[in-house]
Amino acid sequence: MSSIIEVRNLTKQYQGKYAVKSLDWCVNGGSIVGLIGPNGAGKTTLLRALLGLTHSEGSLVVMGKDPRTERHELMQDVAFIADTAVLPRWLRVDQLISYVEGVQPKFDRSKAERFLDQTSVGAKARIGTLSKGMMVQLHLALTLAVDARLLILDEPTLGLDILYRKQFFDQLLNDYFDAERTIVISTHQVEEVQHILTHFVFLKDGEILMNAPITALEDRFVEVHALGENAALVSRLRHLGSRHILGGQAFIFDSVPKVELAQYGACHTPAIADLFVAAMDGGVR
Amino acid sequence: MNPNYSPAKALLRRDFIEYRGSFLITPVVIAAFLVVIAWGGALFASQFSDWEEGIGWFVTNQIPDAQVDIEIRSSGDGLDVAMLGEWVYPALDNARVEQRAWDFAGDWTFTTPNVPGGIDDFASRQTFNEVLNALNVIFLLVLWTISVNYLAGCLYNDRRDRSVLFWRSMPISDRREVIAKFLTIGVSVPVVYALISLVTQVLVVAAGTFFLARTATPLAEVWGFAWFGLEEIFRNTLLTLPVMIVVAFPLYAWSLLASAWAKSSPVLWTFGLPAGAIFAERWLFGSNWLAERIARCVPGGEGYDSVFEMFQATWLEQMLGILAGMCLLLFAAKLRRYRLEL
Repeated sequence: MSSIIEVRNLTKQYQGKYAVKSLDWCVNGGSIVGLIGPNGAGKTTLLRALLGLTHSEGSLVVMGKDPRTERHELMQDVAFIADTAVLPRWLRVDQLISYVEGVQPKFDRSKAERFLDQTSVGAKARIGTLSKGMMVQLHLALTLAVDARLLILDEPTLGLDILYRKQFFDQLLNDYFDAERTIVISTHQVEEVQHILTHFVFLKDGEILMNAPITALEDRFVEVHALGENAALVSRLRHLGSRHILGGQAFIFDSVPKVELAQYGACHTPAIADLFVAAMDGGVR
Repeated sequence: MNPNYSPAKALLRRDFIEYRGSFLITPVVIAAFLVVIAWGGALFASQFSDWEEGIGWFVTNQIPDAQVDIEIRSSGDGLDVAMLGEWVYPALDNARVEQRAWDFAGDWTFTTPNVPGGIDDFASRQTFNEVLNALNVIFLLVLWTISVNYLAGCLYNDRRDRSVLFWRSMPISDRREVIAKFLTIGVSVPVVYALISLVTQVLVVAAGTFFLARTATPLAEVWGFAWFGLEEIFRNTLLTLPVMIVVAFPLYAWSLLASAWAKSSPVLWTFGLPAGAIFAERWLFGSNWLAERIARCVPGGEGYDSVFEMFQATWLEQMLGILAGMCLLLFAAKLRRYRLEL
């Protein structure tokens, strides 16, 4: 599949401080990429640059267009959900749907209404009176009703309870995603997106720390649970990071065969959250 | 493509929903208030003279023991009256009136004014035209107030409540968005206000016509009055509307730029920068050119009767104003591209 997003040497500074620093990145069609990083890592800046919502330097091609000069054409094929608080609160739900219908040529009103029928969002409700969860449902319904090939989500489930979050990601997979489409999602809730991702990107201080397919968790990384004295032995090996577990330590290794590590303890596939913490702690030691 | 795709309509409708209170409800309420007052006057003004007769009857019939003998007589002939609507003591010269001022034993009469003889004389028509103009000015003042409010907020409020991230996730270019904002406040809303003002004035003329018809004015005079009023409405509202739209354009474009630029208090930018420039001009050059030019941009500030007359008189100035306005709008669109956060 051809590349949907191509970023070369992308740089964005805020008052002399780098939010994104000489970043190279490529996303292929048909993938779901998780953009994971601590607060202030540059996730939002990167995503906004992709949408032409912020000034940036470097080469930037999204679906064959430069978002900085061709944003409005690009947005016919790209949908964007920032966090929940961006829908205009003074409009009614049906008025918002009419607006999107008026400005978005690829919008399918009946589809949006069908999605909303499954929720408790009323057509005549004022958006300001909806709960956070309902707003996200509404925004998602609008987004899914656009036949967009690229969906960019910036912390879409911020502040939602677990039921809404689960529903959100389920709907994303079932009603939207197929081999033709691409999703880029930035989030804090690493564990919850792990099962839907095809790729993950760790971002720190405006730079990409790790960019790998989700299968790498199994193929490339090993987590060894070293108990008792084994913990001291393992800590001398070149590992990515470690954390304390009951009775010992868990170590994460990058590109070390399982057979070499099995002697020290049980080997597992690391959770993406643990890998993230290990990577943020400073990488290989 | 979905069949209801129509960005121009969608953008206009969005603003009319957001500002429904100031674009539609306010002028309609004012119009209703003015029309009620006018028709109330037309209906009850003749009632008052009925009451007057009633009171006269009460005075003459219910106080039989009164020492004074007052005769109140409604008279149309006016032969024995020196002044209309005054207490007079007929058939006496002034000196004798003074002498007998406190002698109520005489034969006093009260005469109501003559039935109006129509409003064929120019002065009374002029007076009524001033009433119509005043009505139109009420709408202009309200329009001016809500326009300032809209212009300052329209490219600022969505940045403050962050909904700009939603608006800009739609396939609408910044240029289109900014131009749509101008067309809303610079053209559509003045047209709406002009129409409401027009209906109000027509209803007020209708009230006047009704009143005249009730007071037994000759029919030809009544129609003359109505026609004269309608002519004036056409002149003060419809003919001046394009003048207003053209002259206000640079000022509105500037306000949109200030709204797109401001990181806080856009009103301060809208008024502060021109005010500073006016003072600087006065201080440096001792002239008032900018102040006068801006004053002419205020809706209703330009005294031309029609847009043709205005262009004949000042075509170069107007063309430069339009050019400046277009530059300001394009600059506002350019600013809006990256100026999202406050």
